[in-house]
Amino acid sequence: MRTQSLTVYVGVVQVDASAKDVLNQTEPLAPTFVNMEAYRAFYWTGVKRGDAPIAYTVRGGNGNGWQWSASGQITGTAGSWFRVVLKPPAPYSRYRLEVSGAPQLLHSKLTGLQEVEA
Amino acid sequence: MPVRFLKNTSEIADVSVESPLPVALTNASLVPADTLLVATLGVNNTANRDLLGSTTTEQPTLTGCGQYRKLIWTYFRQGADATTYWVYARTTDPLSGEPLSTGWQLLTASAGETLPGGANEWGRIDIPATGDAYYDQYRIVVQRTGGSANYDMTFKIVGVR
Amino acid sequence: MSAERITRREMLKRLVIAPIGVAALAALEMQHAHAATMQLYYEPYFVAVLCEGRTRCDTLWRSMVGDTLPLVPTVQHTTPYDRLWWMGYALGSAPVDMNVRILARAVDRNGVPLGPGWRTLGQATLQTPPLRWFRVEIPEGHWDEYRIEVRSATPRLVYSRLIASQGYWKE
Repeated sequence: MRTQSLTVYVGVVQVDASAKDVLNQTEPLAPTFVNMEAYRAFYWTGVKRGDAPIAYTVRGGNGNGWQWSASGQITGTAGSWFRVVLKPPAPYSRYRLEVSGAPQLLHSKLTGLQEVEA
Repeated sequence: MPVRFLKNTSEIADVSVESPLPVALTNASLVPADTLLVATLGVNNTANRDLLGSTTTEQPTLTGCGQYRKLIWTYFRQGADATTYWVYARTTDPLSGEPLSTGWQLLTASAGETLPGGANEWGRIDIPATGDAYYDQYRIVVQRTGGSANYDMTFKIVGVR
Repeated sequence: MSAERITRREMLKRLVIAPIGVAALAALEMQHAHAATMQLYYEPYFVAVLCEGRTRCDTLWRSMVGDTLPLVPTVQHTTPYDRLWWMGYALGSAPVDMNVRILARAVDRNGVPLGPGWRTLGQATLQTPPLRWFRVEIPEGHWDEYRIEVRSATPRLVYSRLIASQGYWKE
């Protein structure tokens, strides 16, 4: 086995006070990504366009609901880069990447790490 | 009759999903490390100058590095004057190859890190020092910040998965 | 697959036991000698024997295969490997102090070293009783070439093997 990095998501989301995922879905049960069992780690990098911090929550689970979550804040002035490293404790099939905060654009990319046959 | 093996030198365990029999993979193959850059830089006191001699802030030293867990920067420096380095990184849009934005994320301290070693000595720096990389672009800046003698540094950067 | 019924005592007799001398090396991470101990967050998936040989260890710095040529690497093309282990044993009837030195360097695309000399990864003294194994872990991988050197005030025949692994990390 060896690791392989793949781009899972690249996009821009308008952050506001109500929690939504990076695909603009406000339904808390709606997954952002599905069929994700092969990934064991994620690297979420990007640029925030406002000064205010952005709260994020990442949830992992399957068709029976969310079983894991991790939260934090993306801080930095407008135009600054950030990176969040996510290493879920289990290979979940679904993930939801949720953000909220003062209105600003968030341009980001999610890279996933897979294990493949060497 | 279960298959058993000696586990942790003092415990005999049944082979199971929780305690798999330790075996060596016979069909694995070696994944090569990739040489990304080999060059010689004349280290001087010019600020914001990268390993390729560029002072253009938006110009990456390395690009297309998204698959690497670590970059290994090895070098042989011919001078001893105090030298500082900074490592910047960012990600790009996979379709256009353009960075998501201008600017960089700084992986080292804002004041920079001291380049280890003295005259005619080897050195090595792992990028990043801890954790994983997987950034698409890097800009590595080196500046002589002490003394007055410029010197040559021959270096190599290898990407490992 | 068929299972053989054996007693625990019989199983222990069948295992290859390798009593290993322990040494603390300056600048090198020392692992307590244990044939199967691995750090939990690292799993090797490719392991190779890079070099195996013997040397008559004397007062000169000799490589693990016996040469006294400081410019000659013991192994080359080792860039892909995360970790290396050097293990062996010394013949003789009395304990021996053995100085060891692990050297490394990088080369350019033509295979020429970037500069003269070597980077010393670690140097120390191993105190090994006769016919006891020693093992040194070299955690600084991804160098292109390594040179393993030994010397001792007491001449001793040293057999050793250099193993390298490539693995993945589950931090």
